[in-house]
Amino acid sequence: MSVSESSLQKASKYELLDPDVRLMLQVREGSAAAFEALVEKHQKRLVMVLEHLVSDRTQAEDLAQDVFLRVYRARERYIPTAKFSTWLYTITHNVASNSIRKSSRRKEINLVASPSGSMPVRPLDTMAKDKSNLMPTRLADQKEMEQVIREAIQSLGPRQRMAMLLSKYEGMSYNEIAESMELTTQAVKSLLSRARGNLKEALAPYLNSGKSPRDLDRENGEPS
Amino acid sequence: MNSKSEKPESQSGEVEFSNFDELTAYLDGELDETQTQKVENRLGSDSDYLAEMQSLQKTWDLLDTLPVHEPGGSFTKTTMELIVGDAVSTAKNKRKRTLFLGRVAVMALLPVVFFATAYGVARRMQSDPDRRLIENLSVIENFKKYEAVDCNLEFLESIRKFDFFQKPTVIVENGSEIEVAYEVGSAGSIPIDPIQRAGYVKSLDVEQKITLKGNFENFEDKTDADRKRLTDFDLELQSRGNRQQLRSTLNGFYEWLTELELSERSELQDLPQNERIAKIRSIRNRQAQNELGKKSLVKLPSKEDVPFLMGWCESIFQLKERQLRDRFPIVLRQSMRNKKMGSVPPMSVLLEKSRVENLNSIIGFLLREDRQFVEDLIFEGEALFGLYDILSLNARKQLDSRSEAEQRSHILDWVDAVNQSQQGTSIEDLEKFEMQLSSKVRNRLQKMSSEKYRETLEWMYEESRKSQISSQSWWEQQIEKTLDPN
Repeated sequence: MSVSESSLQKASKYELLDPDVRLMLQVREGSAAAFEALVEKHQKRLVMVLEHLVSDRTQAEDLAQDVFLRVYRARERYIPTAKFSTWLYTITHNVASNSIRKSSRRKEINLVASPSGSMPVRPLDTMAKDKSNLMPTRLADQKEMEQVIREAIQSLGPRQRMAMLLSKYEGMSYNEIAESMELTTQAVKSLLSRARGNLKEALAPYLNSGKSPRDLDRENGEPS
Repeated sequence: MNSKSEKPESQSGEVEFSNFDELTAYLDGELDETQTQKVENRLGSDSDYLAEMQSLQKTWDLLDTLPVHEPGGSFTKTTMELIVGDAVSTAKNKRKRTLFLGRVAVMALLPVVFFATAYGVARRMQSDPDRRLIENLSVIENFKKYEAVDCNLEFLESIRKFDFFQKPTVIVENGSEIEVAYEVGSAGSIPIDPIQRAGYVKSLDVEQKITLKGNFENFEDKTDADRKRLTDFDLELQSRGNRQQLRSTLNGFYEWLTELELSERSELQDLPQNERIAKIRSIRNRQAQNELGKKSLVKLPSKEDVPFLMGWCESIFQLKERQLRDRFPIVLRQSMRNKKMGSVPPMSVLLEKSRVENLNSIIGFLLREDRQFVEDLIFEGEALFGLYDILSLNARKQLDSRSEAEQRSHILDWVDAVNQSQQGTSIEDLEKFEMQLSSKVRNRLQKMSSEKYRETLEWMYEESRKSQISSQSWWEQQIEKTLDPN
């Protein structure tokens, strides 16, 4: 069997399964309109995922463009062997990892407070309380809550965060996440388990009481 | 089993962390029917477990409250402009590879025309056997591996799940971000495009070409049915989403299998699939433990962690090689001074020694003489995160139960054990070592019987690695003593 025949077989398999694969195959054939459609469709969630990964909106948009540029550059080699979104987030994972690597800020976010910085898990339970005390009083409760959630997400390790974002916001299965992040399914299971556990720990004070950080501060007699 | 034994509790009374795996997979719909039933039975009878599940779910739902903002209004437009700009720039740089330029239809056709023409020319230029080789390259390069797993993807998937035959490589860059990748054999890099494939074959060295030719002849000698079976397996493997991991497993498994004793290999091949998997697991467990266990008294992580730990160490060693080699002469000089080991060689000699010395030997020396340096070097940045991520729950527990300082010390012991396990004395090492000896010492050695010669050389090599002393006169004295103990 020739190579071109095998490529066609694979293409037809995923063409049936995923409309985005069909669009990407049109891109491979030179359709700019198909590429534009893919950008339109995926930009919102892609930027959101990247924003959680790099903690900066503008940078997230720049990185999202970088991701699309890489998709475009890879179009000639594109063979649909998975869902399009799985492939897209494999590229996203690599782009975000490279960016985070270069960012010294990330080190401050993810390392523990101890001088040696070698503890594998950050003490999340104290983090949420501490951060809530720093909130400006002019912010509404909802904004404060959003900030606490964002910080809880950012306090996760980069791999836990990526796995969590793909699971929560992309609805990917463990297998798909494993493929995107080039991990085993078991590793994804562990990452997600730890991510959920850490988030629960960080958000526990607000989850149990149903109250905002400011309300909790007031109850504790601390100035808001 | 009573509910207490099913529900491990931490000191704070909360359900222990290990249960999150099960509950998370349950909430994500990733458990099979039996596992789901088991979790649901427990949820029905264990209120703490139920509360834990609800709490995890509430946390997950809380994330939905975050608003999702639209990217800026011009995002699509600027992205498309970026792409067109990139295409123009690439087209200018690579005239022959004309890229599609957005909506410019004429330009869009050029790569297709180019590809079709080049493909046609290439096809005409290839003789039939060449074409068959190019077309079946992936199968030809790998069919022995495919036969080792009986062209059975189910079996390959089963052994992949052990994680024993994938070689993890932890890449740490700039001391911060961690990546875990799996090594993929050459099969993973065979190009799809036939023209590129032809180029790939052309680029092989003579030895590789001879091997490929031999494989091709073997492949051609097979029956049509066998060839089809192998080709179908290759296609099926390529179509799998996790093909990289499967390739990595396949390569690792094949390499492992060929190194087994013939009797053990034959026994394995005769077993039905389930028993074969159990047997592989048992042999691999034994080997993994032995790889570290025989050389160390340190309490090692569990068997399934050993390959991952070794992969992590190997990557860290490679990444930190420069710092380790830079540090080595400084510590060596200090150590020789402190121990008053005669005249200390000039720094240029020590630097040269540092350049040529086996890295494991350097690490072993620094672990003994300047452990703090190795500790700081290994744990700088987020290297520990990488290790923590790839270890099993049991190994993580083993670490979690310790203070931070104890964790570091414990991992350093593991590193030491891995390093020692990698310091096996090869013939190449011995030959290299012998060449560094003075001609006088070499002459003395060569006068010995072959058995005595090898024994003495190995002893000298080990001693040299332990002490990091290379004084010729000292060696000569030692050899004199060895030859004439009285």
